[in-house]
Amino acid sequence: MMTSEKKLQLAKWITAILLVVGVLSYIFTAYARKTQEESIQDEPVRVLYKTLGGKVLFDHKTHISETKYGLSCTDCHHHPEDEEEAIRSCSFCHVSPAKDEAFHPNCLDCHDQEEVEDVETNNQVDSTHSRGECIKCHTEYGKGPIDCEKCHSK
Amino acid sequence: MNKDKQFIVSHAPFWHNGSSIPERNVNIILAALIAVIPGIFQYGLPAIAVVSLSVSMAMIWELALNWLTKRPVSIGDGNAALMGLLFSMLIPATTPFWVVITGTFLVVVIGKQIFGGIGANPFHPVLIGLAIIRVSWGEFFDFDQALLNYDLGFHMAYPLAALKSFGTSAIESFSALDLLMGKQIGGIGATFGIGLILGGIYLILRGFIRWEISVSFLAGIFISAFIFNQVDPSKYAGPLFHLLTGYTLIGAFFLSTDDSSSPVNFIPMLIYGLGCGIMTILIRNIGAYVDGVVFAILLMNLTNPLIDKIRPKAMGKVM
Repeated sequence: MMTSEKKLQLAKWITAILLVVGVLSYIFTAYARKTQEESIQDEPVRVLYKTLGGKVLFDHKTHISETKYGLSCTDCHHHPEDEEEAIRSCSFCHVSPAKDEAFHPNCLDCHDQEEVEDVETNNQVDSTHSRGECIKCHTEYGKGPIDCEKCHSK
Repeated sequence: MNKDKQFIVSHAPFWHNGSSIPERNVNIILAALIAVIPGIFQYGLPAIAVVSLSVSMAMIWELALNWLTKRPVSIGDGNAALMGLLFSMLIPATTPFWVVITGTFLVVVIGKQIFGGIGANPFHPVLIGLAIIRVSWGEFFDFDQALLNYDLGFHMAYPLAALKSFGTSAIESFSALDLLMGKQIGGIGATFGIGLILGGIYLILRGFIRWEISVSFLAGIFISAFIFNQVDPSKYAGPLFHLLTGYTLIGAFFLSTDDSSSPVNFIPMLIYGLGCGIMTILIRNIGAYVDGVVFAILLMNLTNPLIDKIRPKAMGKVM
């Protein structure tokens, strides 16, 4: 039978060891996350959109997986065309310009003002809904949700 | 009447039955590890980080409070370690270090030490800490968001959140066996159902927790979920789903059975357990929170002193 003095000693050792293990694991985890950040950015597993209509959990991996829907990058990331190297997130282009701006600064990143003057870009809501890729594809293939409450959580 | 005679007991020598607080806590820790280890295998190094930091910080906070309040050092009894372990079991593997440090402070100091330490806490310390953290920084407890970049090869939506948002059509892909075997996301040590059940049965057989509380908790979940499910099967999930998801099993075996915040008499234990189960389902089905276990047990902890007054009457009459 262990004496209470011995138990206390053991507890102190356990505390010290677990503290070291905990701190080191956190450091390694942070380091690993940093190195993986780029690949996660390139190919996220899931993406959580926080919208006014509630959160939308989008399963990115299922859409691109060969065994599932097997979409190519440019099926959705359609601009610039056929340039997989230059892929941008949806919200990079599909944003509404601020009230005092004619164009969103993101457009002018690559284009001259004259170049985009007559171009109309869907805003973020339209790009995923009525005029955009998500619902268009879901309807066309009869797969995936179309109703609001099937994507947007309350 | 002669009041001096009220406290007469048999005379010495006395015989200690050998049970002790450290033995009890070590056994509960071992039982809990059955559910923690699969969680660590699932989530890897981040889970080791959270569990190790949580246990060690809980013990450090206890040590600091012992020193500050000039009381005997109590980390040797293993209770602080158990509280740290239980706290880490309920949170996602990606929880930032400062949430773990703050959380264990709330668990050990606010939940336990300020009430006078072990045996004096009116609420389960871990639930106090978790509830404060949950209300203050809720985004870390959104399991869908916290585990966004994990791909563990099963359906990676948090079952209770899917149910609450999209109704029963969204949970058809979860089979009861998968849920039981831990193929669901959630807290590090709260999802491996079979491990929690085995740990719970071990603790019941050894007499460290009371079966009355665990069984009536699960019965409360089953009955109330069954009634809801009968009323509207498209909106409310069946009892089996509720039994195997969220914090139900860890709540029934490890959280509601805390000795100082739960009743000791037979009928009060049944009422307490049933109350925990029914409140859980009410919060899940018609309340604001996705999972109701934390607040359900806290509410029933509150009623514990009152319902524990239901006890056998003494025979005879004292004038």
